[in-house]
Amino acid sequence: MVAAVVLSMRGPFRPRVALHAVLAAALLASACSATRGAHPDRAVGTARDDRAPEAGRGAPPTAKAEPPIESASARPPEIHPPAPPAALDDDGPLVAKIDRTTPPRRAAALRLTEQGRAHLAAGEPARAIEVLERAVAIDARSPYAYYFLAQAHAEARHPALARSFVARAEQLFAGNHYWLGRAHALHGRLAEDGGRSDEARREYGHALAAWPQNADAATGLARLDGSGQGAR
Amino acid sequence: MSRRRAVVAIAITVTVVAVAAGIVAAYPRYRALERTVVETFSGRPWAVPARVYADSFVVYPGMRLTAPDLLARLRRLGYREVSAAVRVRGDVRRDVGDRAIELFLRAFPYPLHPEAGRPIRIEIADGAVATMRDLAADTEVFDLALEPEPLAGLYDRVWQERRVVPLDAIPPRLVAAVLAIEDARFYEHGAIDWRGIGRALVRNVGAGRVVEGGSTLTQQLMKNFFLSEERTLRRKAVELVMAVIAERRYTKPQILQLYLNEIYLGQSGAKGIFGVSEAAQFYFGKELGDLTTAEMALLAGMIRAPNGYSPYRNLDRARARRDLVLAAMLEHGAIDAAEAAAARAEPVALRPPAQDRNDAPYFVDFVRRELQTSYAADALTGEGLRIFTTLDPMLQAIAATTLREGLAALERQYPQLAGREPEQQLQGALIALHPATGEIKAMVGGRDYAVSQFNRASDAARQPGSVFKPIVYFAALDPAGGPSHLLPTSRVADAPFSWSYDGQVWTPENYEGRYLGDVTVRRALEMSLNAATARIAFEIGLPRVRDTAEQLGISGLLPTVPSMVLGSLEMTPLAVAETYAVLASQGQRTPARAVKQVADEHDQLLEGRPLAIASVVSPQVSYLVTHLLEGVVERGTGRGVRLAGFTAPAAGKTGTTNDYGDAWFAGYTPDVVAIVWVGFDRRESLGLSGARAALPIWTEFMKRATANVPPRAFEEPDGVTLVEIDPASGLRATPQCPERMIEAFLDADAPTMDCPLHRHAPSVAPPPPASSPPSTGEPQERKPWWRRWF
Repeated sequence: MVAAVVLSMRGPFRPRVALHAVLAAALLASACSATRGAHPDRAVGTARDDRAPEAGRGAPPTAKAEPPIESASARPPEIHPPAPPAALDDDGPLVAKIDRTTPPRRAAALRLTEQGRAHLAAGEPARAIEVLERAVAIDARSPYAYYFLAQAHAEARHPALARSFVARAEQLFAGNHYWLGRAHALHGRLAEDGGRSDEARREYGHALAAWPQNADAATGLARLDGSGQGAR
Repeated sequence: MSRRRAVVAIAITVTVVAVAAGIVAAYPRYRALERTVVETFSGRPWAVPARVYADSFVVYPGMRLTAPDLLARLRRLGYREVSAAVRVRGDVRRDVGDRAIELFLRAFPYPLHPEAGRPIRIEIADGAVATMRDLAADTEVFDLALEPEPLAGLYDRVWQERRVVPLDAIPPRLVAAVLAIEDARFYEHGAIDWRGIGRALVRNVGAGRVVEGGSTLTQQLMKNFFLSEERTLRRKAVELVMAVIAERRYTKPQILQLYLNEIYLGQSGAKGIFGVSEAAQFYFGKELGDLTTAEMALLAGMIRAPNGYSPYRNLDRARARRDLVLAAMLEHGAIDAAEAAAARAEPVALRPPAQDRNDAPYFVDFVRRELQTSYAADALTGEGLRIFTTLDPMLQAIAATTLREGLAALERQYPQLAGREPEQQLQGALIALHPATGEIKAMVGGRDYAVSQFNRASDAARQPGSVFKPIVYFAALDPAGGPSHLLPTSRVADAPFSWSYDGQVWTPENYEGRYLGDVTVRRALEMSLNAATARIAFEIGLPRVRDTAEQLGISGLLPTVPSMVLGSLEMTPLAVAETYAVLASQGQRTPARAVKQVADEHDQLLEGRPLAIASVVSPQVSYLVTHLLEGVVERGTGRGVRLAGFTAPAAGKTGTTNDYGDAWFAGYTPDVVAIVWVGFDRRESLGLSGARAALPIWTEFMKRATANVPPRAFEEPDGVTLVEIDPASGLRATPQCPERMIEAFLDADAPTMDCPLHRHAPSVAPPPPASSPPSTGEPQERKPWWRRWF
């Protein structure tokens, strides 16, 4: 791009103008990247930056890898960023994530989260909540604990709490496409159950963008689009 | 009819009439007594106070924990140290060299998952838990919760500690011991044991004093429940009548169950120990089912004079009485001779005396008040509720000690603060939260609960002073707040400044009238510069500051005057803690939580108060503010934290009000938010800043609280970039830059250009170091780097 700008200049070569052009192009490219930019030293009352707030905040994490392998059951809506690469899903026991390098807190939280998951599977959401809260207390940045807390509260019919925990899980799952997809799918389901179709559609979309094979999200979208009668 | 026969006839008639009249007259009284007995025994016989528990202590592999620390916790819970293998729930044994601890976990009726108790071996290596093993199941254990420590009871007037148990949960041998020594013919008499009375009479006359009572268990039960200790014929008559009523209306097992749960068995400070189950815990730290024959005999022997025969007061006397009970048991066939001999030979192994202290009186009051909105006062004090809270008893003890010692040290150091009446003495408050869960881990509401029960941690609304400033900086750094936002490297003038509003002028002044000129945003916060902060607030506008404060959870009517930005509103330490917890947990607001669960007396869960979080502000900006506040501790007004030897990653802010009436330090690590306030209740001037009065207490608390916790850095969230910069230019440091520091930026704001100031190092004057105030000779206005290129 910079080369194109320089080459497109007409007339004799003027180093100062060229330098300006190069800098302008660099600044433009930087602004367009929306992830990183050069910033002036700003002073109160002297210089202002009128750029928009950070583009990525609150939005689903931008996929940084290869195009997705499309799911046969659903395609991600076009509004979503490119999906991540296909990979094996990650639905095994959480304790399998523990290795020698795992910090003790994280390991303890993962084990407790697995216990909470088992209580959920056994239809004991209250007990699951108790155990998962303990996991959060030990490792407050464990996305799995928040995810299953959200699920437990959904089971216990505490939808507001479920939403807040799944939102936290989404924040912490950034970069973990499979689980981010699951978190968005759960978020979508909570929104759908709450009668918020637009939000549900959006969340299912995010889920498929993060993990195109997410069947819950695909089914949810189909259901919302009216083509999945009886799917629930 | 002879005259004599007539007299006899008249006498009989009069007697019959008198008896009949007496019966008729006494019948209503009899019915009244019957009603009293039936209503009491058929309803809720006892007012059982609610029991408040601390949080469970959870142990897991890898956790930093030394054997002495674990043993200290177990001793607080009343575990008995034994030298042989652990056999009974409540036993603990330290292995050679403290490399392992074996404990027999106690049973505990958690509402959702009752713990039956099990033997556990905890291997400890290099100051951390290596492995844990269930010795009974021979399985590895990955998390172990010690039973929660009881904090206090919520009682009305008299604190009766009692665990009501059914008769079938009481070992038959204990029942036999009680019957052998107190009422051997219990199953044979009908409320009154005439033979027993006769025997006691003979023995007492023979001894010339009262050596034996003739009361049956039923009579004792009536006396304990309904009557006073006075020794009158009238009281005795009523006791007999009530005993007869009880025996008519209730079965022997029912009476026995009432008796064994009712009897008074000792005293621990203000707390009375009632019933055999509570007594088993109090004296031996055991469940009833774990008592030995000797221990049962000792308990049974104490019924007659619980304090006189208390093994804590006079072991020899208690042992002699125990042997007497064993002899009675042998006599009545409850045990054989060999068992009696073995029991007599058994040493009395007592639980370490329970500390009769409530380390958390302010917290317990706080819990009581919180629950009063959901539970009637009678229910709280009489229905045996079990309240599970968030408190860490060890942290609480550290907090209470630290505050008390810290205030005393201030009085020694500054004599003008000392020598006041107890009600007017220097006060303080300390509260500690777990930021991610909002759990209150320690709460000390004042210096001495006996002198003042006012909880300053939760109820004293005082001006926070500069402790409020991070909110201003949050608003200024947050791109979501408006079209422009500042960076930590942005520059601001720290110079005399006036703010006109509503026809008035507000002129904030710096501490000691010193102004530093052109400074970075970071420097302004680190040095707590009032003028620079006010200027920043002026630029972004009060509404933005107010909005941010509300997002961070500061509720109530915020003042609309500019002085708000320097903390002229009022906040309690608890509210400050909640606000700082949002910063520590990267934008998650978790309301402070004291109560986790409430269970009824049958261990059924009545209510769970779950963790609640809300994402209220940007995690990235929260981290930026935390990063600035780390600078406060490293080189700003909070550097006393480092000078005092607290080395773990920490963020914090000092606070002092205009008239030196309130001194604050608010700070946090990733795991603990702690707030300290120091001042006088009457708002007199302390004459000390937060750095001098509150910071030392905070530092000492954190040093002790985190003594065995591996330090953890604040983790930057996605969307934040750490860049090594030259603080003079705010741009990426080059090898030539003499001063460098790591600064945090939102990704979009991170500088990509190298610092141009030191490319020709010899010709450029070195910038002031970050650790010293910037020179006032610096240019007041610096062009942005990109303008200087053109």
